[in-house]
Amino acid sequence: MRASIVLLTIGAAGLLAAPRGFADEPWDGGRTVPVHRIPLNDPDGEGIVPSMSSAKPLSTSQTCGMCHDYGKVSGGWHFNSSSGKAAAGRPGEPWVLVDGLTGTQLPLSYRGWSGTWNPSAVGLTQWDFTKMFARHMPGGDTGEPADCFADPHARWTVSGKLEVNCLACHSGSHAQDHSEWVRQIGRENFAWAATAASGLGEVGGMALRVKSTWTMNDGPNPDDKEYAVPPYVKYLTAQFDSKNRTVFQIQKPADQSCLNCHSASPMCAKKEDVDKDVHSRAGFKCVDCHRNGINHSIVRGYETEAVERKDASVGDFSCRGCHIEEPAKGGGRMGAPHPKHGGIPPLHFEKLSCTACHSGQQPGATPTDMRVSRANRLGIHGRALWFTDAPFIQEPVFVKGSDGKIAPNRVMWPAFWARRAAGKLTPIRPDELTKSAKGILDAGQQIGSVLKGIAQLGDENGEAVFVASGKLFRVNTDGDVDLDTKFAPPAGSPSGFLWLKEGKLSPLVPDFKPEGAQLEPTVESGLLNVLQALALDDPATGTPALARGKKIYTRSDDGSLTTSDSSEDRAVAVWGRMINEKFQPIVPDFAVRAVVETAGTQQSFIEEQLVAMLQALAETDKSTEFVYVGRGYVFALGKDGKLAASSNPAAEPVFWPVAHNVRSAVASLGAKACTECHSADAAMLFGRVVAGGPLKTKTVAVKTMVEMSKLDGTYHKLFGFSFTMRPLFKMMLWGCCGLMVGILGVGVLSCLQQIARYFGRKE
Amino acid sequence: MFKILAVLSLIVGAAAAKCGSSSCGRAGRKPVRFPMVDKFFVLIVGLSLAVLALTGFYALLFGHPLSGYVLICHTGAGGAFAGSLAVLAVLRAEAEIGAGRFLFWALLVGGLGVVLTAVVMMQPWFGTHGQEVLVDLHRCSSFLAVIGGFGCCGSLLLEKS
Repeated sequence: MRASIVLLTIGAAGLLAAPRGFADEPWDGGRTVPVHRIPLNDPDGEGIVPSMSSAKPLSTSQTCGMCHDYGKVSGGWHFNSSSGKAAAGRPGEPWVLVDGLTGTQLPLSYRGWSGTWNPSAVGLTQWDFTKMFARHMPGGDTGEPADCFADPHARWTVSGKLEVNCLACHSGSHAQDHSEWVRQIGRENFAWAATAASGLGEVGGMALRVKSTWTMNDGPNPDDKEYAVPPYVKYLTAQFDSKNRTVFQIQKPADQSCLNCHSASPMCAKKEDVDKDVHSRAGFKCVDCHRNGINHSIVRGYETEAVERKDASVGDFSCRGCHIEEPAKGGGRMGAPHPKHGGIPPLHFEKLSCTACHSGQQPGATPTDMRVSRANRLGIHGRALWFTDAPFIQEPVFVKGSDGKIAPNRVMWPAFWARRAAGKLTPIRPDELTKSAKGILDAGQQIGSVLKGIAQLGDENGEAVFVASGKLFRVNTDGDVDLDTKFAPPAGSPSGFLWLKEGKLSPLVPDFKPEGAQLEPTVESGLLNVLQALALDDPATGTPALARGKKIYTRSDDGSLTTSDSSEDRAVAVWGRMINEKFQPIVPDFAVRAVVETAGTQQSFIEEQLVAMLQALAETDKSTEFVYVGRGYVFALGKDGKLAASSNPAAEPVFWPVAHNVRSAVASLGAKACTECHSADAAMLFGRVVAGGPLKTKTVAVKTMVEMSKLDGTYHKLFGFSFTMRPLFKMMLWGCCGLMVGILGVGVLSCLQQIARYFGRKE
Repeated sequence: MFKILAVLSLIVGAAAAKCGSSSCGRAGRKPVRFPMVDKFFVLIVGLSLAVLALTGFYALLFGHPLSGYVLICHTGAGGAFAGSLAVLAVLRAEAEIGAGRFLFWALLVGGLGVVLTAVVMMQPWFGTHGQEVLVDLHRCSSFLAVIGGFGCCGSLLLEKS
């Protein structure tokens, strides 16, 4: 009995002494990362048996969450934007809704940052947002809605929730594959994405194609093994031990993990020419400064963050925190060198952020065009090219932050279609515009579809290309056309749709005389082949036709050539379609003009298309005014039907500060001379920021940096000009000093002489 | 501290100018070789010092950083002050006797301190802390220059010819 009491007491004491809790709380002081040899759990909390064909994907909340407080983690900075509870902090990079067809680049954020639109205000649900942007999200946030049934169009029950993917950041495995994550997001395999990206198993099927009543518990679709295949996972059993445990190669997040979503590079740079951040070159990892505890409130590192978060320790990881010695703090953390800042008046540090001189691209006459991971879809590897040139982002643009200091920012000019009522703009989602945009904004697609049709005739004729205004266009994998900058058609080459073979251009059908009673057999067969290739499934698009002279040739249903008379006499063959018994060019002239004018530029459509689109939208709803926002202006049709541009806050650019890459001291702004900033043409002050965007127009907002920073341009011109005289000024001051020192010296000597005489007389 | 010193220096400078003009007069000075040139440079030193005191002390007293057009005025006046003070030093080094001598040498020492700290600040020799020390030295020198300058130039300009 006594022994039992003793044992019970010891057991109870043991339980009290070592309570079973989360792995991180309390920290025992050990600085090693434990080996994570653990079993996997599925979303139901059941242990996964990898050898079973019906095994479900791993759930991080049920696997990692067994030891780490998933609730705390999912409240972290990367996962809390849509919660509405987290402080917004300094503006960061917004999510950008990009649509090439409609020329949309709309900055979105749940955090209410200046210049951004709340996704819900634009009609985007959490489901829509997740589908669009989870490719560059580490899961959680909108991917884990509190109510899966709140949005009737959402398919959460099919896709599963997109839980926080701990492995996206913490996996040290070389099999961890961000591109695979993106592919699974595209297939709506949300619950399977983490498993697939981790390399623990192969995920097949597409939730996207499965009917909306399917759930994970339903298993495979016995009726369809080709198309509507539900998502499934086949675990790589070799990675598991006999107890169904696997080893997660957990580590502090590596830079590679961060850079999957946080890369930024100049648009025209070569990979080998891009330098790393000076801190990375010194051996630092991103997380050395961007730290967090289990709550994942990651240190963002800007100056005022410590005050905003009411946590002084956060301030240690700002530029000043490490580099500036303060008696109370010490400074020099992590061996950070103390900056000399020789000859720089302290006023600079009151007016400028550290990044103004040390971060981002060097300012030039115009800012550098950039591509960034999340907006331009970088870092997704595979046969398909995922990245886009849009949205058009530039850096550095110098703007005053909320702390009153001028800092380098990235800038993006919004571009979107909107409804205007009582002066207020409401953006329109691109998918709402697709119907109206068809035939107007899809100029490249129209030419591309013809080229793709002709390409069906085989390679023996050569490659089908389109030539206009001395430019040659090829169809790309997206069905649009690309300008071939290397091939210039010889002078006198024909235009339109042509064959390109061995560097020579030839018409699709050899030229012929329409006056002739009968076409040559080779011409006729060639013509029939092309007409057949151009026939589309949709009869509303009309019958393919060729107009030449006063004749129009079509292919009848029995495959024979039909000739009809045309009122117009055409000197060259024109491919077209018969719509309502009327011949129309296969690609409208304005579409050709649009493709030619926008070829090789960042722009994708012209004013002519803009007017047509505004007219088409007005037809859909005559009670609403439709406008297009882009290039720094709002474009609308005036009462006279002409295009009118006006200023509007919604057309103003959206900024977010640049922190990286940090340049070395010698490469910082002003290191070579004061005149890098203080001159009448200094890029930092007088560089021109031209509003970028998909619309090709001459009505483009252009602002100088001083306008952006709300500085007095006249003063800075004058002050800059004064620096041209500064060397002379300094020489004059040195001369004056020398003279005064000389006279003072004489005065002192004279004084000493008088003192000596005084004492001499006394003796 | 600097604010009090700034106000004090202005008061003492004004008082010195008043006292100097009434008590010293021509009795306290030897005649100079070029009276018109001397008068001109005294005027320039006085005016530029007034602009410098106005712009510099304005920024100091009202807590504004010395920047913008005020800085341009300050720098421009500083150039005029340095140049004219150097010339004045040559012209008047042996002219001042009695109480005026102390004011003159105070102006010269203070002026030298002001000009020297200003020009050293433009060189890449001192870092942020050094720059801050130089600014403090610049201010301290300016107090002496204001007392000496206002006293010396004021008495010269106000005295009955």
